[in-house]
Formats: sequence, C-alpha cells, structure tokens
Amino acid sequence: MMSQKISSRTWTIFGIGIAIVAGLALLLAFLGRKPGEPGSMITPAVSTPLSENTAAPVASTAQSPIPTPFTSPLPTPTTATMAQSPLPLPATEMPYPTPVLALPAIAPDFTLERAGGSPLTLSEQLAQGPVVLAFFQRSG
Amino acid sequence: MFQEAGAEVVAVAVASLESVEGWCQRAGIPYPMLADPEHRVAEAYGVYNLWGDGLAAPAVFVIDADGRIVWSYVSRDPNDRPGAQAILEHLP
Repeated sequence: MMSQKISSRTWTIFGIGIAIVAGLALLLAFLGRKPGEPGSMITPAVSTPLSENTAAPVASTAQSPIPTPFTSPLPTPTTATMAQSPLPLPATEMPYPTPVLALPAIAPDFTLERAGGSPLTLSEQLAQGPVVLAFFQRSG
Repeated sequence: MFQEAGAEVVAVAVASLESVEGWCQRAGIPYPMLADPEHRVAEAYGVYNLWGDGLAAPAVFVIDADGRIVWSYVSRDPNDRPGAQAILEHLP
C-alpha cells in the first residue's frame, strides 16, 4: 500500500515535471521560431549585403590608399597600412587577404643576401628586365 | 622558361642564409635564392605570416622593368600554385 502510494505520487510528480519541461520546451521553441522564421529569411538577406559591403570597401581601399604610401621609396609604411587597414574581411570566407586588392602599385625595393653569391637588390635586377619574384614558404 | 621571356626569377624565403644555401645545394635551384631572415621583404609584400607559421606564404609577383607589380598570386594552401603558364601570360 505504502509503496504503491509512494510510487503513484512519484509518477504524478514525474508527470508534472515532464509536462512543465515540455511546456517550457514548446515555449522556447515558439519564441525561438518567431524571430527564427523571418530569421531564415534574414540570414541570406543579411549575408548578401554584407558580402556586397565588404566587396565595395575592399575595392575602394585597394585603389585609394595604395598610391599615397608608395610615392615614398621606402616600403616600410606599406606593411603598416596593409596590416592595420580596417577591411571588414569575413575571416571564414577569405582566410587570406586577396592578393590583388592588397597589392602595392610599386614593388618595394630591397636588398637581401643571396645563396652562394653577392646580395641582390631588386632595383638593380629590374634594370635588366622584368622580375618574377617568388616567395617560398619553406627553404628546405 | 622565364629567362626566355626576358624575365629573371628571384626567390625569397623567410629563413637564414645557411638554410637557404643548403636548400639551393640540395635542390639545385637555377635562379637567385634570397634569404629574408628578418622577414622585412615578406612583410613589405604582404605575404608574411599569412598562414600563421611565421613564414612567407607562397606567392608570385610579376614586376615590370619600371618596378610596377603587374600581377600577383598568393597561394591559399600548399598545393595552390599559379602555374608557369599563368605567370608567363602576365609577363610584360
């Protein structure tokens, strides 16, 4: 008798508990869906202007600030401007800056030690003709 | 190939001169191979540490005789290379 009473009471509490949880879940689902229903429409709608917005400033900044720092022969400011440029690049879509947009107009001059030879200066090499400058990730 | 088109290939790696020299000897690199241990040049060209490895991301810049960058390609992963034909097409 006692055990039956206890078990029936337990089941009642259990049932009420489930009802409350289910009610809360439904409520949450309803609340979540309300913004979610237009949200599913919003998500692409927001993302498209975002990508358009990002494309526009990238193109404009690529054209505008680049000639100015590169009028000076020193290449140092370019790195700073490129690194600190507030381009809203979506990190997920573009893991690396698009090379064409980040390009300096004039190749920064440099002198570097050459393997098995004398140091090479870019401007001196360019006096002999075009240069294909290749950056290697690994050197061995 | 590029020499025939009137251009010189110059390679740069963010590494010590010793490391670059050792690689040149092993691989027999036929063009000038430069060491950029302080990565100043890689930074100036915007390719330093793009992959977060403290090295230069593989990249190609075609520079005309007036010093203008007429074309460039920055690899997105180690297998992403522009190919010789694409470079040749952009040689001035």
